[in-house]
Amino acid sequence: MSSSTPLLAVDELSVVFHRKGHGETRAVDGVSFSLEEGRVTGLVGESGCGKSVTSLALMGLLPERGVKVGGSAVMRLSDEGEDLVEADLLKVSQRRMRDLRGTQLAMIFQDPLSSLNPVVPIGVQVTEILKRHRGMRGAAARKEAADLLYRVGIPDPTRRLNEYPHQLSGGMRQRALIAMAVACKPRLMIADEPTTALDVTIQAQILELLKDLVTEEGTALLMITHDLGVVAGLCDDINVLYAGRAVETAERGPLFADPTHPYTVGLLGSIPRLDAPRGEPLTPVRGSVNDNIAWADGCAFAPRCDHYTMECLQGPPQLVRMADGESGSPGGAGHVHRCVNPISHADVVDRAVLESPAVAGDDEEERG
Amino acid sequence: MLRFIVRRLLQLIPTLGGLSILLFVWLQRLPGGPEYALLPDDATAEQRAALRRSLGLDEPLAVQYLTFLRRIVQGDLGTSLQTSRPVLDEFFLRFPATFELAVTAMLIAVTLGLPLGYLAARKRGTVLDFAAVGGSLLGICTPVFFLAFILKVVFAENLGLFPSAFRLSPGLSRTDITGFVVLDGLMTREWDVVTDALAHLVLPGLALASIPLAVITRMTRASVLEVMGEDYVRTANAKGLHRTTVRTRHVLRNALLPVVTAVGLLAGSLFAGAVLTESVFAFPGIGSFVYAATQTRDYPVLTGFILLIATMYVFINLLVDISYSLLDPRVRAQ
Repeated sequence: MSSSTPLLAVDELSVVFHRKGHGETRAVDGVSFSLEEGRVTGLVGESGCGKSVTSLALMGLLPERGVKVGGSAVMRLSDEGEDLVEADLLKVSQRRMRDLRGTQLAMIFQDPLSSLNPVVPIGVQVTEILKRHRGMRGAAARKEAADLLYRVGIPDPTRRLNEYPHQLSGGMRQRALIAMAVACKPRLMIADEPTTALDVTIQAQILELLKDLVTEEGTALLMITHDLGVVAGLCDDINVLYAGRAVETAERGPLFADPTHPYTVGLLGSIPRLDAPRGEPLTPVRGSVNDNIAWADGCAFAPRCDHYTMECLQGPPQLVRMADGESGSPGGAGHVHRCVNPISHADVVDRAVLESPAVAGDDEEERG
Repeated sequence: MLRFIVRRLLQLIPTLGGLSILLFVWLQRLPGGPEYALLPDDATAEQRAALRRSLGLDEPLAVQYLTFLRRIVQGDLGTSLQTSRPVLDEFFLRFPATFELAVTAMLIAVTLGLPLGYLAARKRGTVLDFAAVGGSLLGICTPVFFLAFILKVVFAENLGLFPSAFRLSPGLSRTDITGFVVLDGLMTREWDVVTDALAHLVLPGLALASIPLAVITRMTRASVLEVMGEDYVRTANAKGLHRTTVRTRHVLRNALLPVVTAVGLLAGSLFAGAVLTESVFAFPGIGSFVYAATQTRDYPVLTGFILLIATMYVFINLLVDISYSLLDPRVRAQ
């Protein structure tokens, strides 16, 4: 992990969908970020901002027809010896990508029930990946599958191997999917809203499990979510996406302490607060994700922004790196935003909330 | 599973009971009667009335039905008015031929329809897809007797590739064990009989297969298309599994479920379609016999044959349901 190159460097990723009669849709419009081993990177934004499409593009799971993927996503495949083996995930062949998926990078999906094959036993769905990538067969594969299920917190794993997805609870299903994802110890895991379909107590357990995997195995985790509670509890680095572009990038501390982009400020302001006075309405970001303008004409968020000026509509705003002194927290050097009228010292989240156990995510001791 | 089978078999009783009542009422409602079909045109009214009386047709319908029920409990379905032989004997004399024909048609429909539908889905929007969809539309629209006639004229009479009539070539000697010609031939190793019988099955089998083939092709295509968009197929791809594993274990296994149900439903319609096909190819099955029975108002044959076919149909669907529960664990659990 001492290597200076990141595990995955995504540069100017763009995904354009072409549909007959509908013209083209730029779902992802030049997103750049990098992932490091043992760190959790969040892609945050509301529905339609391009976060799921980004993950599918990295996995090579977008349909081949009618989709154009641009940019690059260079992954360091091995750092054994002196030679650095790298591959651009967006350019390798389908066949090579099938070898990489499961071994180098794996993905956990949103809806655990529909993501599991309903007519194939859990055991087969776990062992098939062991057979494919680790050449394991028969009893050895089943034993390893049981171990994997046990490791992700499924009790009585040998019995579960013979069961079908509908016989498992929602949390168990997501654990089973995580077991499949970690079966070959991938160096990169992508989790696309892994807790959205689960109830709150199970959400916390699943996030805990993911966090443990990152710390124990040194996996890099790309966490796709719209839930800022998840972000606060889990992510080290955060990219806030809007209309297919990153609008603010920072480490967790600076982002929550000192958000600068009005969209980030709006998202943080819309979190329900337990300590808010009773009856006080939530403050949503007004409008919807459809009320935007093309990035080429100006800031896509301008129509929903309370702070926009004519300046915002003069061409695409550039990513601006904040000066060291500007950010309130240490580590602010990596704090970048895409706004010509940034907000300074927004009073949306006070330190007390950031450091409370529910947000900071150090609730392991309590659950002990 | 056993309880499920027993319950389904018990359901046969009300099904057949209701069907037999309907048959009794409907058949007697048909104009005419056996007294017109069996007696010459110049027979007197007294002669006709005497025949009706001797057949018990002058009794009230309820009494006739009770007599019918009493006999059926003893395993007696009555006697054919045309041939004066027991209905059951007539059925088992002809049924093997129809069964062979129906099985042939279903085999053709499944072995062609599944791959065709699957390929059409995989190659959606290509020439192959359009050909499969268009062809199946044609298959559904073409009347069976018309297709049978075309096949007979082109492949039997003009090209001489296949025989045009009967189950076997005249003069070929065979040992009769079960009544199923192909099966008997295989058992006695009379290979000439087997090949000859199969050759006789090709054209009527194709004609009868047209509708089920079309339905299976389209159902498979639609089902595969749907399953290919499912989340679990994406998961399978995300695991980096080989293309073939994804396609067989994850796509096909799920896509086949609705097709299995369709096959069960189509199996029943094959017996109905067989009537037309058999008459074109002079195939000695139940079809032509039932047709003749309709003309002569042979009530015992009509009632008996239809009830026997209904029983077959229930058994086929029972088999389908059992195989379905083997394929889909979610059904098994209930």
